[in-house]
Amino acid sequence: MRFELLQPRSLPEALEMKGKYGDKAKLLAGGTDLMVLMKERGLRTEVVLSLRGIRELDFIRSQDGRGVTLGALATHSAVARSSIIRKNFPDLVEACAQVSCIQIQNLGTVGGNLCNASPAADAAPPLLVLDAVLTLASTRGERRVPIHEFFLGPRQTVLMSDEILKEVFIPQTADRRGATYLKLGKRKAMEIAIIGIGVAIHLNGSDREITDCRIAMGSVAPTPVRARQGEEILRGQEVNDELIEETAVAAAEEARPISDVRGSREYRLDMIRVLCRRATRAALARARGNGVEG
Amino acid sequence: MSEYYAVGKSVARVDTLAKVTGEADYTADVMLPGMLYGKALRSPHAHARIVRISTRRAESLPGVKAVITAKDVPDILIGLKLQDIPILARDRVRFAGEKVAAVAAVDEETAQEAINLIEVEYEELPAVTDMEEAMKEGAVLVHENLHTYAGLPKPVKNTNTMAHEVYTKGDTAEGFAKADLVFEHTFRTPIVHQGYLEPHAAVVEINKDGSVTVWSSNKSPFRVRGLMAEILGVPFTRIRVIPNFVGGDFGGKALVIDEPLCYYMALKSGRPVKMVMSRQEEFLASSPRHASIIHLKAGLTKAGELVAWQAKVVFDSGAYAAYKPGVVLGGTKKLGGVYRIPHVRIDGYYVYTNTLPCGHCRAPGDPQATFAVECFVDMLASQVRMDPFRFRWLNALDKGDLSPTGDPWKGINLKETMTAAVEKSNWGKHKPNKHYGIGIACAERATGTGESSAVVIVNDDGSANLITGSMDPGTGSRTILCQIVSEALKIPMDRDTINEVDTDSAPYDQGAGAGRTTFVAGQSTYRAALDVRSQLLASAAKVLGCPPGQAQELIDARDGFLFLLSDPSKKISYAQAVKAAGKSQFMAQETFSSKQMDDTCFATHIAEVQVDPETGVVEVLRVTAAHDIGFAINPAGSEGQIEGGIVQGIGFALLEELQRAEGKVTNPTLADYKLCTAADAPKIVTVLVEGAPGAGPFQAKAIGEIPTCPIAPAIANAIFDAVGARVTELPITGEKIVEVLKKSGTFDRVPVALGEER
Amino acid sequence: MKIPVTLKVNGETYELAIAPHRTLLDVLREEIQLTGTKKGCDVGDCGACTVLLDGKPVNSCLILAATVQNSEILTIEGLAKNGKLHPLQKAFLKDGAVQCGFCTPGVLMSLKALVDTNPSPTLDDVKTAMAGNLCRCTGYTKMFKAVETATRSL
Repeated sequence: MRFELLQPRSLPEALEMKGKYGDKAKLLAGGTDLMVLMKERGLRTEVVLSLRGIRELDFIRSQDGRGVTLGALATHSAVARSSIIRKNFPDLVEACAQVSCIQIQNLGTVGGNLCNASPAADAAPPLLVLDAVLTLASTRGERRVPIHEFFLGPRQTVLMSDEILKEVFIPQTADRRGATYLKLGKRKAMEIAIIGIGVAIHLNGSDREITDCRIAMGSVAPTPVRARQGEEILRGQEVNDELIEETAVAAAEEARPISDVRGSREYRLDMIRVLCRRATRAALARARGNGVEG
Repeated sequence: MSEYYAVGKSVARVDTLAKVTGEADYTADVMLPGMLYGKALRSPHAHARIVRISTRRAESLPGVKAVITAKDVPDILIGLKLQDIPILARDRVRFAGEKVAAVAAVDEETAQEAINLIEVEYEELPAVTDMEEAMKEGAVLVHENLHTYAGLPKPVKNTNTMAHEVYTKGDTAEGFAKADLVFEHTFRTPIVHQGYLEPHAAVVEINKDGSVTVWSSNKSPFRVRGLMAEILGVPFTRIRVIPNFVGGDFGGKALVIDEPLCYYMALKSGRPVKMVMSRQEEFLASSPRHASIIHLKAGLTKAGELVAWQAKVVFDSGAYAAYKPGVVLGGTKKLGGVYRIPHVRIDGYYVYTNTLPCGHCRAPGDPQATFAVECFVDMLASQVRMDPFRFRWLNALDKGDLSPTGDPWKGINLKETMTAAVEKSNWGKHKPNKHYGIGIACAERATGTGESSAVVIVNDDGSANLITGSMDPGTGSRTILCQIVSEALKIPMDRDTINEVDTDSAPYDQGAGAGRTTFVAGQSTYRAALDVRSQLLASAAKVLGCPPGQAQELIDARDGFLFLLSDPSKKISYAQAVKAAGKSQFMAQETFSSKQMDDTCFATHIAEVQVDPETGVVEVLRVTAAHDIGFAINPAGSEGQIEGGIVQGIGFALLEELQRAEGKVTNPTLADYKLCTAADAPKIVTVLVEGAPGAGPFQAKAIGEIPTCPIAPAIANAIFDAVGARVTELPITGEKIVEVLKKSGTFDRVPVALGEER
Repeated sequence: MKIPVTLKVNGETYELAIAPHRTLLDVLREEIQLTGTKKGCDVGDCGACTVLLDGKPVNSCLILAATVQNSEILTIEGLAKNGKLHPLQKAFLKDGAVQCGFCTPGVLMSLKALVDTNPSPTLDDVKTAMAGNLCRCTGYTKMFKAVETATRSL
């Protein structure tokens, strides 16, 4: 683990550097992933480009009712504690508060969590559900990528070698929304998800008709994914237990989990169904309470 | 509440101040001028021939000061008893993780880089990684020359089964013939790591006169001295082992791991060398708890009385047996449980495989055996439609009974612990909800034997020093020894000090472990302190005008003063007593040794759990633990041992497993090898059942190891009570529970959300 | 190869020359001899290396020392003030919450951060705050009790 350390003070400076070094430079934000990869898995890099000193990337900002933007350096704890986020996105709060432990939440950033593209990234399912949009910057300019197009595979994203994730925009959601993130692990803390499920339910005026349903899953495929067939079953329907069960079964059918040290493929398939069912019910209950986290 | 002066009280530990301020030095904290950092190169293969090693590129890396391979170290095999492990692999590697070479460099980074530059050509050999396969005829032999090894319990040849022990009582054929009902079952437990937070560390410095100083995270400094002297071929007096604070042991800190490598690299480089194992190395190549396969068969009468019992255990020893002080494990003998059974046969097999070598872990072999026996007992109880408590009570050992293996135990206090645990738990009460469960399990474990020495000094200012080689790897034993000195001399705890010592300055001690310290080190300390006390009394007798022969009857000592019982105003201080004898100190030394132990300790645990029947996730809500402790010298310390043992046992029950594929560990991180976190800790209610006469001072019994034993089966039994899933293979993961529920058709596909539970 | 780095630790300023890859943990232990912060896993899985970075508990093994030059770092050595133990330290002593002591510095730093922001935490708050600090000896039980003792005296 030897490298040159670059510590830009501004985003333009960082983009210059990333443009110059490209793939030779690994980006460091919280360090909770990169440091582990270097120490434990022998990852080598010529240059580490630390974003920690770039104040302008450390923010959580409300966008006049259009939504909320997270700067690339917003940590899991900052997001979980933010009053704007708590008010609007309880699912994202639940995901960030279930990342490993306090120490890791204080260091790790939501942006970094996305860029690592771990299939188990806790923040990914809620942000997929929220149709978040990522701003990727380079000296060539900026581009906006919807999160469902961002992940390509385990540890692979659409980020070009000269690009840096600048911010994550979460569009404002409709009023009667309820959402939750459920995580299955073996311990109560310090866990990498065996399965993580985010579900959001939107209701119209009545308490029964679902205008929109969004489901996203972690640790079930090479990338975090939406369960679009499952969503379709509930969308526009009057909710009942059979439909929720059908949705859960459909979500499991869309998943492509593997067996690893954390759990077998079979167990994961069963648990997608269980968690999806539970998350859907919990989201529905929240939506009925106007989707505002109590 | 007690008539005692310093024992029987939850005093603050003598070493805690250093630990809460960060001043306590552990071995990795030793920093010497010019010190180098060592790293080891390890085999990636489970079994291979070493064809060629080239260290040229590593040696030429700037900053590298020494590279060693097998040719740089003595061509010997070492071990605590069975000598089967080389210092560095010579021509063959027998497990993935075995050390092949080592580098010392100016910093850790350089050492690691140099390790990556060493080229080793291996010729892979067929590996045997499954213990049952390894026992078969014609299996790949892990050690062809086993019969030539020193310390082999019985001569055997051409086998991987390096030891087989048998315990019998009565005649099992006759017993099973008498039985109305016969049941049998098989249980499995995985390799689990001791999980101490401090990884192994060693520092070796060769002094100008050629003598050697060793700092080692080890609870048996005298054993380190002995092994190092043996390897180096020098007298003990040339080796000085300095024990630092030890960051947790649980049986894993009793061997030499990297100390010899540090020495040979210090020799080659002329500089002190430190090696600290990474967490990954700890999981790949330390000395964890053996995996086991246990087969039990029981014969019962219709009334539920046990009449015959047969047990067979296979322990996976891994590639070497060197880390076991006795080759075999005490756990084999526990396979008859704590029950009155006339006819018993137990067979224990210890088998080599191409897996990391296993060693001693808190009550070696016992948690495995207790898991199997206590789950099986619940299964038997349900076969005869008896409540698990009643079934146990009917068959439980009572005072005067012979143990399942025919030993005459003293002070059988099993039923007292059963009653106490039931009283303090919710046993027999109404279930609060459908998927709540409660389970019980019992265990037994003897106080440990061994040898220890102590020197007690009263200075001419009235203060006292205790000098002992007994180590405290975190259990609080040094505090207990100070309490014993204070009690014997009747001086406040702040008037005595336990000296920081090394193997040059302390008398011999076998090392902490096996639940021996309170007993063995305690007795040597107590006896030395009583000896000093009689010297004080004798001197006071002269000053106070007592006939010397009656000092013990006429004079008492308290708070640093000696006074006439008939007239307490006639008194002198300890300082005066020492000075009156014309001395600067009174001193006594005592060696205490015990080889045989017929005193044993019992425990009953009751676990209460909540099981999520859809995910299989288990929450341990509450554990009630009743322990037959004789006398608690430091009750808070005893509780601490129990609470720690229980949480460690919850890990064994639900979380922990070194997973392997083709002999290689696949989860060598604390992220995937899961110790319980604070969030997983249940409410623990401990009951210290005192009164049975223990062998230790003040009739204390041992408490260090037994708390890890009954907890896993108590949880397994509670899970069965909650959801009807009997999982016979540890750890009981959610996945396994779901699998059992699916097989039995009770895994509910119709939604039962937990929120709807009452 | 080495770069100049200024660190503020326990109120003291240290001017150092270190290699860029050095972690805060290694620098604390080896460059400024503050060995109270422990290395249990070096990859953020055990919490033994927990220090406070601008008041927040973090794993010092995951931080490059050169990247935290503008922060206030507090280690176990800085917990007692003017020779007076912090109430948590006193309670840990009194309640038998320490066994081998290797996890203790990290645990105390996590709990210090907790009681600084939440002077009367619930048991669940305490468990969450400590969940990133593994302990193998105590079963955590006496630590929970010690936090109760300490917060009563705060």
